[in-house]
Amino acid sequence: MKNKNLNIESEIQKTMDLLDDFPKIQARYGFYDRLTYRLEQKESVPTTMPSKPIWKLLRYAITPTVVSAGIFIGVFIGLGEQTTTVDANLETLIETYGLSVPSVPNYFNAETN
Amino acid sequence: MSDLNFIKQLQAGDPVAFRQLVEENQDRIVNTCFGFLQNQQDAEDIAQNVFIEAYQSIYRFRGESKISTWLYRIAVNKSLNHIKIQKRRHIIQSLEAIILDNREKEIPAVSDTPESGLEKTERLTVLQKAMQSLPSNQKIAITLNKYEELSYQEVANIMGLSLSAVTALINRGKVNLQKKISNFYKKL
Repeated sequence: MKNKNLNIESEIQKTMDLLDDFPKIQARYGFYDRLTYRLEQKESVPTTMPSKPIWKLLRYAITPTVVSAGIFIGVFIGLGEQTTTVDANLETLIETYGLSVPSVPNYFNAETN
Repeated sequence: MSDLNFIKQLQAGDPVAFRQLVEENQDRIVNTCFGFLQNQQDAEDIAQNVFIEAYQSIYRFRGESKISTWLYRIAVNKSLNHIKIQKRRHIIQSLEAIILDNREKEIPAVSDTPESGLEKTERLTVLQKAMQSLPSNQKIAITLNKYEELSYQEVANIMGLSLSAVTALINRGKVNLQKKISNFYKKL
């Protein structure tokens, strides 16, 4: 038992001693070349807008504005279309019931003739 | 060339200065990353990320500390982030844990004779496993002090702590290491 404890103590000590004897490693050959290659690749990629909190907030603020602008434009165009349909209907009514009158320049032309 | 001139050249994007920065510091940065990651490939990848970050943010470096201190700081942060990401991956891919754990750890040869070398490598593995389980502040302080042989003052500069705080961290770290190693051998 005592022997086992002694062994453990010496193992612990030997392991702890390795703290002062850490093996060192070095960068492998071509480290700089690989680095510059990666840098070039990074630079050729277009940078995107950083996703900072301020951009997130702006995104939340801009989205409803864009949506409401879209709705407004949609409604506006819709109304415009509706107006032309009303005009078209009037023209059909005039033609159907013979209510058409010559246009003003035609009227003058008729008189002079 | 004075440090200030060198920094100015780096900030101006001088490729010769950047090459000098890399070549003068690559070994110590790779070695520091290795101290945390215990894998040469990962250590080199992270060291490259360190230099990429240095290249991209050199304009923010105000020259208040040594440039090597600044690089060490980036290296420590990147290595710890990498460990964090790896840990998260391990949790997510818990089913593959056994395969990941079996991943080969690269321990450089330290042998004097084949037999003693084997024992040394085994002890080194025990030590490294114990190191990995230390609280991160103790792990940083011991890694910088032992792997990189930086003085307590240099470690304090890198970690932004006082000299006494670093001394306490290293001492506590050593006590913890001893406990963990002792538990390991007692379980055998």
